[in-house]
Amino acid sequence: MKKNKTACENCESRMSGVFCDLDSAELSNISEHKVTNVYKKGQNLFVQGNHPYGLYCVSRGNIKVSKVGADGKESIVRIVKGGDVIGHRSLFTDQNYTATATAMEDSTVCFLDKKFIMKAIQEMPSVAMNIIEKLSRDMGAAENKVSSFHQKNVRERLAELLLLLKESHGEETEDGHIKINIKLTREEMATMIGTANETLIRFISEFKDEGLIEQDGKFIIIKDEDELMNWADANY
Amino acid sequence: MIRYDEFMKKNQYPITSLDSELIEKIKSVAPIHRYTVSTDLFYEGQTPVVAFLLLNGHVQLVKNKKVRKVLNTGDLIGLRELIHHIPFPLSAQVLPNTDMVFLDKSTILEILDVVHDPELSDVFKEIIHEEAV
Repeated sequence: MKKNKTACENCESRMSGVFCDLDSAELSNISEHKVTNVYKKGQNLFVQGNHPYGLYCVSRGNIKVSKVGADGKESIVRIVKGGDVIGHRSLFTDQNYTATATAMEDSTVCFLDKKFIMKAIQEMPSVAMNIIEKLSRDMGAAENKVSSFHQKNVRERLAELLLLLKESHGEETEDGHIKINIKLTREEMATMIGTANETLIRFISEFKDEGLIEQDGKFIIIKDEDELMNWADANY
Repeated sequence: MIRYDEFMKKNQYPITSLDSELIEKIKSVAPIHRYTVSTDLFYEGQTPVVAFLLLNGHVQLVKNKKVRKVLNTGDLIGLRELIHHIPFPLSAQVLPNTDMVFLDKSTILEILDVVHDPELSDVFKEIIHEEAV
């Protein structure tokens, strides 16, 4: 009846995770303490407004972190993938979750409680440094997003989103293009750049017509990265 | 010790009911939280990330979209599943304005190591060892 859980040492996302610098004995201690679960598509890891229990480490899959406004509309704050952590901001501030984390596909996620992670941070400085690095990156991304919303139009924001997704989920195809290996609905993409579905669809069509991108089923392929960068006005 | 599947047959639901004295002891070592929004505490087949003790409000166990059991005040769920890392056979949902104590694994291990209260430690050991592998 015991459930199998992957040891941290064998985790496919180990080298990009916050525990990447730990030795075998330290990793073994974490493996022993953690709880590993598979979240099916659409299941929540945590819900906006609830109290945080600890830190979630994504081993495999994609998790969307979204906020629901007073009007009931969902906006995606960020998408996390294998090697990323979620819940760290609420954990350190001891505030309730300000967003909801939902599996976008069947995802394997490990959990460590607050007492354990705080002890790990005190005893293993590399864990603290890696969490600080992730927090800093999150802050940088949030700052960029705020400035984009103020300074860029929808077309530029869409180009920027595609480049960001290319950085996080891009895979080179046989013909040298970049496939964004994540299934996002038009609605989800629209909330990520703060526009209406119809507007997003119009600009995606324009990008396709201009040869910047193409569609492969539910995936987007980037064909002309340089032109997207010109539009995004960003240096990635 | 009995096997977990035998335990399930005998008890039907993996819930432990605690008396008011034990509830007070648990409240003194773990935080109380009010759920303001409807939430899935965990899903069928998952190991709970913490154990939950219901103080007041509404928590229901669900399987195949049907409510199979509504918890009572003092019901503790998820303790043995968390310690042995075994899946819980039902989903648990909490409704708004429910007060619960959550016990994370570190706190449970402290209780078992008699950092807090010997009686509580014995009760937890009994719950955890009600099933085996």
